[in-house]
Amino acid sequence: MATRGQVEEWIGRCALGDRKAFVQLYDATSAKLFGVALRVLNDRAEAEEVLQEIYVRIWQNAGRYASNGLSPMSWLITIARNRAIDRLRARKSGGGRGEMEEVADLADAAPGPEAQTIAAGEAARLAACLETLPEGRAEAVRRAYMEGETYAELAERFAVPLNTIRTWLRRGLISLRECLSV
Amino acid sequence: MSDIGGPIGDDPRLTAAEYALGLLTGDEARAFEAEMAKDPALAAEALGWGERLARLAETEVPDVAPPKALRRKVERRVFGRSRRRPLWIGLGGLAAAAVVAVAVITVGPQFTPGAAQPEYVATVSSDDESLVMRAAYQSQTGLLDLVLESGEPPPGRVLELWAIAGDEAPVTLGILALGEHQVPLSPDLASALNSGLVLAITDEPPGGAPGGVPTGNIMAAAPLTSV
Repeated sequence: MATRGQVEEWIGRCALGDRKAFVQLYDATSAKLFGVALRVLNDRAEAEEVLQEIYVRIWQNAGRYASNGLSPMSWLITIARNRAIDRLRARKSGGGRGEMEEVADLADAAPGPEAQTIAAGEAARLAACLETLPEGRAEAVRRAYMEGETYAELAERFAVPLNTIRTWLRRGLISLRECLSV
Repeated sequence: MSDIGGPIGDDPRLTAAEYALGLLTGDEARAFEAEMAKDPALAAEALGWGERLARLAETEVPDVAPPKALRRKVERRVFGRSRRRPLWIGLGGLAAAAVVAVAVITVGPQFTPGAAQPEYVATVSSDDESLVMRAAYQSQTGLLDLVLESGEPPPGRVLELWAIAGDEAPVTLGILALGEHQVPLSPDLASALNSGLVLAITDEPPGGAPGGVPTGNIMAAAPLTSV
């Protein structure tokens, strides 16, 4: 497993057009990003296609990494997840463009080193806090993030009205926020 | 910013979480981005959620090794990304090409590897890397320096090198043998370097492809990319 510093250096060298660094980055991270794409798309052929798009985007946007505030692996995963959800939504809407294009630039829109300081233990903490939520909330959060489900799809899945699911999930997020800030 | 314990629906920090989760519609997301641009604390909140969720995914989503062949596809797409489709497909088509006498590529008399900085380079290798050719081009000399490091044609065949500019028909650069070579690029080919020039190696009958049109298998192909 590559260290955070290595991944960061490879991204930095990609920004300078270093092809060897790009290949190293691919070798070290493609299994994780392919896993993310597969989780979202649940289709190998589509995930393979999207993985190519993901690395094209990484290569093209590497120069913008330094200012985005996410840790290197989170930046890569965010790109992978957003591209895969783009593809998923395009599939669902019969080939139209998804709406993730804007959201894909979350990292670019949000300045500051804040997130960089979040310790690795935070993921475990988030997982632990998710477990404290009432039945279904943690699943909804995971389905939204890791499978790209929308409020409408979550409402259908949990068989509740759209407004209810939103209130329900937002209450869950309040609890989650409180649990995390303790 | 209102307090986190305030009425549901009003707290922008919850909107930040929804934004990071991808639960906002396009319009809502754009409105929230406008808010973030004015409020660094809000931007940091969204970023914090984005970071935590990405780490959760990193922890919980299992690694799956992609197929080995995908790596080369990714390289082709990234380094030759001005192309809409793999260029070597053009080689398969029997596009009309000028009849070009096939010269055996000879070692250039003044060839000194690494003497000057090349502007364009390519590593042309087969999937199993049994064939590897490196190429470097310098506009000052107009010469393409080639090193065929490894690679044997099938019995009774020769290796032939081609240059393909965009969707144009392949142009032969000559027959290739192991070792160092130097070959001039025509002005037409050199002017295509910016928009993308691909080198490809095929196996052909002795003497080279008849009629200057590739007929054999494509053993390797790669674009010349600017250094």
